[in-house]
Amino acid sequence: MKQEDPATIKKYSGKGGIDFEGMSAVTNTISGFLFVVSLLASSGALAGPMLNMIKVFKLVYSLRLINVYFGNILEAFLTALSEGFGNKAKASNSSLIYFTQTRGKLTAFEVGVLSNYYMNVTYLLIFFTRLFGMISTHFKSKIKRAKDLSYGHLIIVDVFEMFRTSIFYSSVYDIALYSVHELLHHDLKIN
Amino acid sequence: MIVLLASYELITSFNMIRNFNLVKFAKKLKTKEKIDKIIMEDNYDIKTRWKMLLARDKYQKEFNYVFGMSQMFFIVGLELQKCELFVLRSVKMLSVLKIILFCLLINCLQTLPLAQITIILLIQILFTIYIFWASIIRRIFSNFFFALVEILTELSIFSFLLIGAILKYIGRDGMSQRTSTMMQLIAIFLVLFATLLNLIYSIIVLIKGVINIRDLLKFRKKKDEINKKYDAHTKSI
Repeated sequence: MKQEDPATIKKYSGKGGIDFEGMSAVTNTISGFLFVVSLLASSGALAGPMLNMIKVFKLVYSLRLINVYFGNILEAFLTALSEGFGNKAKASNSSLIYFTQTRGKLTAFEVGVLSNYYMNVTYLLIFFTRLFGMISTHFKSKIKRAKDLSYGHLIIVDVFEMFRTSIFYSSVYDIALYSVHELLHHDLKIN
Repeated sequence: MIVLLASYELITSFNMIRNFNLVKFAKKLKTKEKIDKIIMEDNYDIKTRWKMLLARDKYQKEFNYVFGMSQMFFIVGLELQKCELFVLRSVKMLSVLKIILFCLLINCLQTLPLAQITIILLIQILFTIYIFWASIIRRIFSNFFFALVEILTELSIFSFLLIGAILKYIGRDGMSQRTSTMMQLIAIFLVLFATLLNLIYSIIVLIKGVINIRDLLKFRKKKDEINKKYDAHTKSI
């Protein structure tokens, strides 16, 4: 199993050193707001109804992985942001098998390769999304065929659609980032 | 398999928005407002109200649940009459696809940071122009707040990427500390402000969803009431 040494991480990452000196005032000012936002964002499917907010937050959270240096304040902000998400994207020992030289900042932020280690709930939720989609389609066809329209069916479709949309669009960004990452950076060589 | 399932969901939503006859929907929506008013008013005679109920049921069957709740997230805040073009009504869908594209570029171009930041920045510039065009020239958003949320969100992401790009192009020491600090603080302020506005926006969408369900319950009650009155009326004749 490969373990990254600090020199390799520094070589292939644009992150470089972060100077936190003098940054405490800025981070303290935003930490309160960040805490609430990150709490909402990290609650996954529960935060689904906050769809639009999640969209912005997830995007900024992903931008930290672009392999360039954003300046000391922004890097500190991004680090605070990634800490707000807890250890969701942190690597475990068994998920550190990867192509070192193609990962850049993904290594610097310790993004583990095996996405199922921290995406298991998300994966399950996507299956539920499809299941709810099938139930919803069934009721939609019932509504279309019904001679006397049942409002009970309308409510079921409404609730199901709202629920499954919330789940899906709060998980799809993670799938695009981490699942594709696993496909691209997993080392298939047998040592 | 999960990637395939997620792709399927995205393609389905995309196709629904593309194929949906929005002009017809917008026209029917106006008629529905009149129908709802008649159903709720006790001044109209029972026969008219009962007929209106049938018309409302027809509308529900034809439109509301073909388009579905999932698409409500993509059309809320839009002025439907002005969204004849697919590129206009899919504004929110495209922003979801943009984020997915960014995720792919972040994954694929780690060893080419210059190309990575340049391509992402170019996409963001194009998207910001598109949002300006849609909100200011085509005025597709139903009010100023919805337009402001979209514009500010895109500007905050643009400012974020711009700093990364400038520091990459000219080097860490190429910019004075004062300018660099100012730009970074502006970017952080914009991101936080955009997040706050989007939080409010999300709450509005959530409230609209709840109101929708409350309306259904209200109409269910009204439907039972009118049906009973209409039955009594027909028996009396």
